[in-house]
Amino acid sequence: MTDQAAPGAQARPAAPPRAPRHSSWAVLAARFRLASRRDPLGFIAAVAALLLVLLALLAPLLPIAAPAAIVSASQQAPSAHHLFGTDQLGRDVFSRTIFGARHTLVTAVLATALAAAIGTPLGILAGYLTRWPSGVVMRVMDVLLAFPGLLLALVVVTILGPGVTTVVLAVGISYTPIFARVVYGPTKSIRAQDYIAAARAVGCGPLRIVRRHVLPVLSSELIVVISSAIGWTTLLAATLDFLGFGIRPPSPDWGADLSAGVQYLGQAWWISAAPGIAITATILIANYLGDFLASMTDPDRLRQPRTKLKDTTTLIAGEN
Amino acid sequence: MTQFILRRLLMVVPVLFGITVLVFSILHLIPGNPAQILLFGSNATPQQVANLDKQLGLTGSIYSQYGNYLVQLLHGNLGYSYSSNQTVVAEISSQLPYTINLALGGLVVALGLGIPLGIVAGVRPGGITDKVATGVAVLGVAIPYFWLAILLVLLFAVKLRVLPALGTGSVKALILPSIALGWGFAAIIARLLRNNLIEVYDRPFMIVARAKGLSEWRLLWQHAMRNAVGSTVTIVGLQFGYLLAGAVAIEVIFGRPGLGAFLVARIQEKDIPSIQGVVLLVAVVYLVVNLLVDVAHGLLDPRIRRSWSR
Repeated sequence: MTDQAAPGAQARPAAPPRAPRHSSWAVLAARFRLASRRDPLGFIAAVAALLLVLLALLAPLLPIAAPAAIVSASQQAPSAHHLFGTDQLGRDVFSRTIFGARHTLVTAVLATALAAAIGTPLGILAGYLTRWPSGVVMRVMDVLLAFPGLLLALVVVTILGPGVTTVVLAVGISYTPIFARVVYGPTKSIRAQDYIAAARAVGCGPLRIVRRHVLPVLSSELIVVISSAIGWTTLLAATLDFLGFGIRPPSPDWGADLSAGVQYLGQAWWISAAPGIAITATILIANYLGDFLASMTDPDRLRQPRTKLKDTTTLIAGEN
Repeated sequence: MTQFILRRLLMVVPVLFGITVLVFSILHLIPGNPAQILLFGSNATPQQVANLDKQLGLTGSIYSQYGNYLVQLLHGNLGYSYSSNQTVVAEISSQLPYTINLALGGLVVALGLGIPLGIVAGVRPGGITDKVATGVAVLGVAIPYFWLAILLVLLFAVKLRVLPALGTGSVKALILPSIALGWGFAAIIARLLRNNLIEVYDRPFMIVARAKGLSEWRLLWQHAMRNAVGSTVTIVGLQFGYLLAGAVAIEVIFGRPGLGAFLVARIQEKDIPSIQGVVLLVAVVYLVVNLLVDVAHGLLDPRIRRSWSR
């Protein structure tokens, strides 16, 4: 009879991504080595990211001019004395670029943290609960997604007025729906798994299930998205600063300095070139680091031929 | 088919409602009374403030205000601009053509550059064409579009003097802004198309098609592209907002008139009705574009239609 068939023979839903096995330091180090061998560019990105953070942290200790100090004549071309030249007021562009990293990176990291802290729980909530609460949360996210990122950020700027805190909030809120969307789908498919039903059967509450059985599975994807999101938030924050809605002029900032240099493009291209290169490099590093972390956290990725890997640049496009 | 379109239309309603609520509440989320913002600087008496409140429709409960807002909206009335006293509709319609031209220019660049790059990269992943195409695409994602705009001006307008940096008069003036706006979008299209093509090329039916001796060219156009292009189109719709929002910074840099430049100027002036008007318009256009894309996708692919009629 057909009901004699082994239970394993039944059609099962596609397996969701597995949780990382054991995250002891030894395993992490081994995975790091493995991923580095597979993806040398990612390894370079990891080193560059570390350097960038160190440079930003240690900026006041470095033997460079104060970012707001007028150190020579204005618009001096790059030289041994002023590596990136001097700007329209005679300030050292090299020093401003390094100090600008502090502000830009702090904004990007805080905004990403904000987006992840609001978006992830909302996405899990929507994916875990079934009926109407799920619909309500996702429709609200749809509404937010109906405003292109920069537009939503500009709405926040309109409401709060320009400023440093505003930029963090504006960028954070703009990326909240992306985090919600990224975790929504996987949460839904995890929820349908037998081990969740088993956990519920032995009496686990929803909070415990999410903490012990859902979050660990999502963690690898979240790490990747967070890393790439640093790149996106850097860009959006720089755009707002560029448009003049962020930090006030004398403070060094990539977006604001880039915009200040536009008027002097003909005579002194280096004023806006230095922060422009810095923003580009940061986004590149964040993207490659995202790919690298994806390889590190997902064992299946390591097994695929390298040329067939998907990259995380497209995550933002809403592929999930 | 009709059922699919109806269901998709029904999805739009709550989002549309949410958009109007959000746009309406901009006015009320701003700290301080709008009338006071308007009369800022002049020593307004409470009487003047009250009169202005009445004129702006800021009396009554918040629900009745929202109701009024909706009624006005349905009559095509977006209110009067604080800074110019013209209707918001008139102001926006004078700016709109410039932004439409720019967005179309950006779209042409995005598709014209993104599709070929995605194909040459996806057909032979790991090959030299893939590496070059990937390089172009990665730079497109990483270079901030406003900086790309500056580089383009520096190269083509300041150094080579072949294209104008400013102005709106000729088609020539549209070239640089379109490239600056479209390249990042092209990069995303190229990456997605590459990912999709790689996936399709691994499917069994492709192996069968190749085994029965189809040429690579027919393999690509008759089998691979047909399957890869669907989800790419959806993402193009989702990312269309990138073009609309990107226009903001591009218009400011190139000194072009248009919705983006208008929005930035009006945010600085705290001209709330104008801001609300632009935000509403962009969100609704974006919503409609995605609706059309989904319907088109459903028309092309019966599997999509079926997934909606559960």
